[in-house]
Amino acid sequence: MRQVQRLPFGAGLDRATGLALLSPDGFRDLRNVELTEGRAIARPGMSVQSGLSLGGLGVTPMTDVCALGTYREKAVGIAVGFEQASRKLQLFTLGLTGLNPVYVADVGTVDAAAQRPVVSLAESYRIMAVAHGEPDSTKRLQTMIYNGTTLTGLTADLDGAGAAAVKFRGVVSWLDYLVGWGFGSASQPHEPHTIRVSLPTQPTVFFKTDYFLAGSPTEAVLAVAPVGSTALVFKQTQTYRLIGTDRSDFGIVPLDARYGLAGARLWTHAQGALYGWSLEGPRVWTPNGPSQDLSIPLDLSGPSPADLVAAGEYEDAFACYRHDVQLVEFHFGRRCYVLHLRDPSRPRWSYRENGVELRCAGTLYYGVALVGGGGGTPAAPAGHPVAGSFTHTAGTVTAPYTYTGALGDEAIEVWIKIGAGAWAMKVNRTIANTAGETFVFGEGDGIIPGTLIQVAARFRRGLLFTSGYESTNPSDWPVAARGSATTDAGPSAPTAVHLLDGMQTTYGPKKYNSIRFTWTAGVSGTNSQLLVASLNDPAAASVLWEGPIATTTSPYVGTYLVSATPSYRYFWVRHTMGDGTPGDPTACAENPINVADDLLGTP
Amino acid sequence: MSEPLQQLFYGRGTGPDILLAGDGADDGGQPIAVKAMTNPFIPAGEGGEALFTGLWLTVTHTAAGQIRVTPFVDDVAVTDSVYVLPMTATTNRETLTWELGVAVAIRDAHDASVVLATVAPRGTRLQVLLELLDAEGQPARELGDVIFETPSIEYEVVREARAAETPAAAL
Repeated sequence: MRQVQRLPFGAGLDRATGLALLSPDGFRDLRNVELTEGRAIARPGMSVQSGLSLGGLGVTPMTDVCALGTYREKAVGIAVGFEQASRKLQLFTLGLTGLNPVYVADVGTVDAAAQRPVVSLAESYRIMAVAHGEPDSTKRLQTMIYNGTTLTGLTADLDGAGAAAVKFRGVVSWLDYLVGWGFGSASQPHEPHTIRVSLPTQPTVFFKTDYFLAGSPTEAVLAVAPVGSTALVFKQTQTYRLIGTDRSDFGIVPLDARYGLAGARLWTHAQGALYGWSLEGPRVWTPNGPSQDLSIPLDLSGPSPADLVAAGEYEDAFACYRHDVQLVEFHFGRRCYVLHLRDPSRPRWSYRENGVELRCAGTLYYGVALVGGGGGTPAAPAGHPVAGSFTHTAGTVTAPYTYTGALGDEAIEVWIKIGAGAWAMKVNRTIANTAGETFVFGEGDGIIPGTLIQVAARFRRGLLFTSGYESTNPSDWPVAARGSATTDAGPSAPTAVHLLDGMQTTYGPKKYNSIRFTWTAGVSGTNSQLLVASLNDPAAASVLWEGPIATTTSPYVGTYLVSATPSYRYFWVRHTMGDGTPGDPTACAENPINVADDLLGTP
Repeated sequence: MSEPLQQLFYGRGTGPDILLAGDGADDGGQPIAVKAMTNPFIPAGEGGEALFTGLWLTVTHTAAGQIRVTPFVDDVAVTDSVYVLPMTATTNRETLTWELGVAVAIRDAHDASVVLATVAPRGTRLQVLLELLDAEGQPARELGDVIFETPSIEYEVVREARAAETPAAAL
């Protein structure tokens, strides 16, 4: 007799149950879905809203976005980015839609031997604290405090020797306090089990007497996570609980002697509990009881599906909660384990493969800034810069701007566009005076001869721009913002460059060659230069001689030791303009002249 | 629907991007491969056998794309019964139900393109693999909803027990 079995979707992964007890509505492999009762929905994606660049200049992209969060006092988003080559860790503000990142300041330069940076953010009583989560206290950056205007280092006298830089491994806001951990004092910085507490409502004031010790220093505190009125202190294999509400009744008690967190950011709040990832898999903590295991359906000790994307490191992993679809997500680079909590009594798991490696998550809350604190709500600037008459040479553009309606607290952004290239921000700072300023761009800004250079400028206050200047494309701004100039053509190229002759000198058993070149000068330019490099690469060449353009023969240059195994040098002749703008050394067909050092005979 | 008051954003680990969660049909330009493999369904118990004769699959969608359905009997893909089911983009959610026969072809020994007969596969366990493909047949999803509703399996138990390996008892 034929029968029909329904297999309702939504039961989630079940990789651990044996065949005898297996429910057919579970899944062996389930990827990139959101589970509801009896349904599995193909998950939506994630769209790029904006990107961070070094200094906000739009030239060098950051290599990591290390932290995201909302600074609710100022109603802005906060992002921290890291750039690998310069090792700079920088703070940015963001619109609450994730758009328009604006560089604020450097958090610091990360030590070359430090780990890939992990950053924690904590807002407490109108300030945003930024902590560098480097395990090695000698390589850790100072904890920074952002007040909506400036970023300054946190200092405190924690050893009686006077105020000194504070370097917390992490920070969190709990009750009326800012809590920081992993730092003892300037004289004894490596105290990985110490948790320090600020004065109530004064998150930048720390007394040396106000601290908890979580067990022994052999295992570091990784995270402090508020749950209800208490806070849980996580090490890798232990959990403690902070109790009390002020210094009269504060205390710390052990909560879980076996389980902690595998990584500093592998925890998140969801539905009144704290979900975290221990060394043995996911667990859920409530303020009072022992943690409960959530890992069974995942069978983490067994093999993962063969083609599941590889997981990243615990140190780089993080957890987050999607309020809208009630998902707890544990991200390990591109691999993610998703816990579906739409029915909290029946948590269900699925896998997720991220198309790109993720490093952090943060919720941005829409709303208005709190009026009256920290400088109040910023207003959009009313004034604007007006481009004057630009001047130029072959290698520079000078752009004078007069300011209309400037109050002095505006930031000025100046963008340039070279030829058909893209707009790039070159200046982003507070205006120097309210009347106007002149900006000069040169070779270092990419200015090249004979090219149309466009410049545009606007005012910004916080994340707000003068009306009409909001677009990130300066071509959309009012015409008064922009000016342009075409740089002069560069110097012409010399012709008929060739080696004129050589001269050999003998010192004892060694011989040395000197050589000179001649050429026909071009029609424009002020000086001539002779360049030399050991490779056929004019970018690697150095100037060997420079003289007036009327001189068309170089002096003898060298001396070069004559050796049995000859080596080679490459020489270029080029002209320069009066302001130093160089011509293109490859524009002359005879460049470079390749000369061997045995030119005038072997030793 | 009102605008959300809070939204989750991700920070990229190998680039400068700030990404809005739950938006679009890809991950910052990279495709999303949706895949679901059911647990083994064992209708006659571990010692029995069944004929697996059909599948019903119901999907609600607005997105275009294709769904590839692959049945497995005793861990072996029934390649003669792999289906690729098309969906066309709609503005309102549309529910589609497909009835899919599960069969193994018996082919001519000299010319495999000649199917002599088809029979329902017989075995202990059935699993079903569902994969979402884009319009070009690549593992990716298109913009819009794809909601997998309840699938059903048709089967017939043919024996409650079957011959199994009977090792000799150790003396």
